[in-house]
Amino acid sequence: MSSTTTSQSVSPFELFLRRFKREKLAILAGSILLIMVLMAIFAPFFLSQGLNDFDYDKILMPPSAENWVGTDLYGRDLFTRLVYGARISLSVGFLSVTFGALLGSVLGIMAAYKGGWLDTIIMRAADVLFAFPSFLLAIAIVAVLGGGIVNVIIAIAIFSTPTFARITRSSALAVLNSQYVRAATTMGASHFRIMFVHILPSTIGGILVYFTMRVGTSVLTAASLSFLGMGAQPPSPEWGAMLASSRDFIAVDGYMYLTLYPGLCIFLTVLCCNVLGDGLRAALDPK
Amino acid sequence: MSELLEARNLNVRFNTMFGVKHVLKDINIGMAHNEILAIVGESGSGKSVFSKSIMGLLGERGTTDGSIWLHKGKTSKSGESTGSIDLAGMKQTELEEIRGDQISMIFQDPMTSLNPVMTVGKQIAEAIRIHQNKSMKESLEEAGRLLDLVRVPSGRKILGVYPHQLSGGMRQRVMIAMALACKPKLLIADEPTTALDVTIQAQILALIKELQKELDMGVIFITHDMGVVYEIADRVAVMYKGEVVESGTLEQIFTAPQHAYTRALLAAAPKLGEMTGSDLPRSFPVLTMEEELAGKGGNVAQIDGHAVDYNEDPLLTVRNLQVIFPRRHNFFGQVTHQIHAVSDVSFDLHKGETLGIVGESGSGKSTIGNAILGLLGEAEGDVRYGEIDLLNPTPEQRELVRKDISFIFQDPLASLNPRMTIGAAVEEPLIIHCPDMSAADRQKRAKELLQQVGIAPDLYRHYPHEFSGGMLQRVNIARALTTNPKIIVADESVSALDVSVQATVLNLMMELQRNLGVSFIFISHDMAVIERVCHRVAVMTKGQLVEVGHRRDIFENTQHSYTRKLLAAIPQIDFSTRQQKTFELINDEVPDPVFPVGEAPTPILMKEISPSHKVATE
Repeated sequence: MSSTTTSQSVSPFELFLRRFKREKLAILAGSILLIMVLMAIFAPFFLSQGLNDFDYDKILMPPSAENWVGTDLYGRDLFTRLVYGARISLSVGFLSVTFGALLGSVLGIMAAYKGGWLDTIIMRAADVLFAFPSFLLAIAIVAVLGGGIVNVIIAIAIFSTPTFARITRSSALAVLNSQYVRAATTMGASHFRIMFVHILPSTIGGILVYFTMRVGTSVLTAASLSFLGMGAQPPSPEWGAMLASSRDFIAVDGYMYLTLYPGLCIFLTVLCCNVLGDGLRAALDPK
Repeated sequence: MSELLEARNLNVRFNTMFGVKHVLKDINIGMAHNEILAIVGESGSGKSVFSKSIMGLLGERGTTDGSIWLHKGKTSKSGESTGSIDLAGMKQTELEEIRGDQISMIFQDPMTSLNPVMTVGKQIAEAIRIHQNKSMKESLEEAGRLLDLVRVPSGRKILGVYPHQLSGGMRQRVMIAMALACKPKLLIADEPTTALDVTIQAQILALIKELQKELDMGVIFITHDMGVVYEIADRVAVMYKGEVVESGTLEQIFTAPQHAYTRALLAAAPKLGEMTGSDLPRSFPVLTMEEELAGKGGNVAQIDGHAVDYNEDPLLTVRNLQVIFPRRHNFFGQVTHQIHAVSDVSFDLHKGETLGIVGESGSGKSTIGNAILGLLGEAEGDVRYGEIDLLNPTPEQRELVRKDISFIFQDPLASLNPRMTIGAAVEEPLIIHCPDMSAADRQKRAKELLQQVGIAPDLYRHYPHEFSGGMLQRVNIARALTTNPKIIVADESVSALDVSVQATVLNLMMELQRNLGVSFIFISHDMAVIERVCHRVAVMTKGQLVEVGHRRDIFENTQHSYTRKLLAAIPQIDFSTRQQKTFELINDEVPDPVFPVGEAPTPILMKEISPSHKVATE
């Protein structure tokens, strides 16, 4: 421990930023994700064509200068549809995991802090959810609630929750016996204050890493559900739905591009999320 | 002098995220083959880096220049030593031959240095087999001999035992046995007794000293404790900020220290017996190390502590306090054994008084602190603060108690939330207890408090990791003072600090007591510190009080054998008696007070020596 104290204060967040700067691959992955998000948000401003501009003169055109990744069965520009699809796919991934993380971390922290029967109930419920294959669970939830994008978000949020609960609980348990939590107790801090001012911030790192990786998986899950016809329905440009509507062309020579590019989008998203998550982990946990 | 190890112009630099750090600057140290060289310094002085550079354990980020010569003892007729090797210039593969064979090392924490899933015998045998071509059976026999050598009672019996089944002192003996497996020429001991109780520390020191003579080896003993240096060393090197500021024989360093740092270090270490004849605590004659080295030290006045009015009613009364934790359960979940952490403890605390509670680890002294704060549901008895029953307060009373009694913990860094600025930490009690206070007022108060404990208020927005331990403990003290408490429970609050820092923090606590009249319950294992800062002292062992009295009663008229044992274990710096001191090399560590349900420790009867002095009958 250095006894020299500079007049410039360095917060733990700045220390994290310094370490993250060394994770070049993660920065690249993060940049790609950021570009995808920006493109999705500003789609109408730079795309010349609309989402459902049919052009029957250009049915099933291979990639060209005009249509970068070709056109589909109805003559719609595939690139335009992929960009609009990102709006749906990315927000499904992001929203579902956000709900799961919020619910899971509150449950996890309560389980750790209160212990006893509450801990038992929350964690056994999590165990039950873990015991189902998660994809089957999602299908079951969608089957009960009905198809559609909102129900897909609910389904993914529900099966994300137990993992977040476990992660939060274990890192909360680690700080629960720390001296600064004891110090807060001796000061007379309320349970709420101890849980959300002292314990929760120290669990954020683990949650953030898992959150990032989980967004990728959720995009994949949502796409799979749509591919099976249980999520977004055509003509929605959701990536899984796009794959589904081009299903018949998968094995047809010369029409690979119909499925290749939506597939690549999903692949790239999942990969980038994982790489970014790894980089975050390295920067948050320098050991 | 036949040299064993010689460091010449040794420099070590580390590449860190914040640039290159020069941690050892031009070190020149030599030592003979049959002496104990103590390297003393505070945290960050580079003493452990030096030992690691000898072992070649600096890692990838460390770069060395200069040389470390290990002389194998052969001296040719022309006087030049042959068979010398430069450890600083060797490859890792070559060093592996040296490590454990010619040089071995013991560390501070014997639990983490031993493999928890391997028996003690196997681990020692392993150490033998790495460098010697012996069968497992021969090695195990040798291991048994080594355990006898380090005076483990019936050593051969513990060959099949796992590390967690041994006490701290025994584990450290096992570590020493492993280090001696190949009869090294040089043993490096890096703070080997810091984690041990004083009585055990005394035994380990005596053991190392005897083994050094028996095996005729060199020992480098790294420590921060001047008392330990005095007990063990032949020669001393004092390190400060990566430099050796002074070296010489033990007597030179202790009787005629040359460097200001050495002098400050000696002045800051409390010495047992120097308070004889004084009724009140007294401050240390030290300033902060920066001020000392700038030459502002010299004759700093020693100020007497706060005078206590014992005619007033006590602020806090503890009667028959008992804390029992369940220890073992049977198959049906019923408790079969209990640990009697505190049994039948009674004492008073007066306004403006410092009551020292002293004992070894496991004596129950920290449990008392937690029980007073009402943090333990298991506590029984009668603990009163004014009208308030501290063990069963109403919610309003609890609120008041949390304001009036605050706590300072041992580890200054761990007791602050790493994600909160120190300003926010000091403000926190105000947020909890005075929710109506405006943010500006809170900030003003926090800055006042920081000023009061000697921290510049403009460091308000800094985070704990940017400060040294002593500064952080000042922040903790400021936080404890935020709500104007009447009582502060200080649980080993200075034992993690460097000795010079410890002295200044203790001075601060005494000053605050004089100015604010706050009472302290000062929990510590260190008799010398207790003698310096306390008005009254309670000695504990196995959850029971064995002697209570004014400081002078305890230290000048010691009655109980356990108190005497504690006092005898403390290194006393006195050259007239140094050589005569011996320790019995036995393992008499205090076991935890665990009893089957239904049984309890024998109640202790207190005998009154004087109105203020009570002792357990033995």
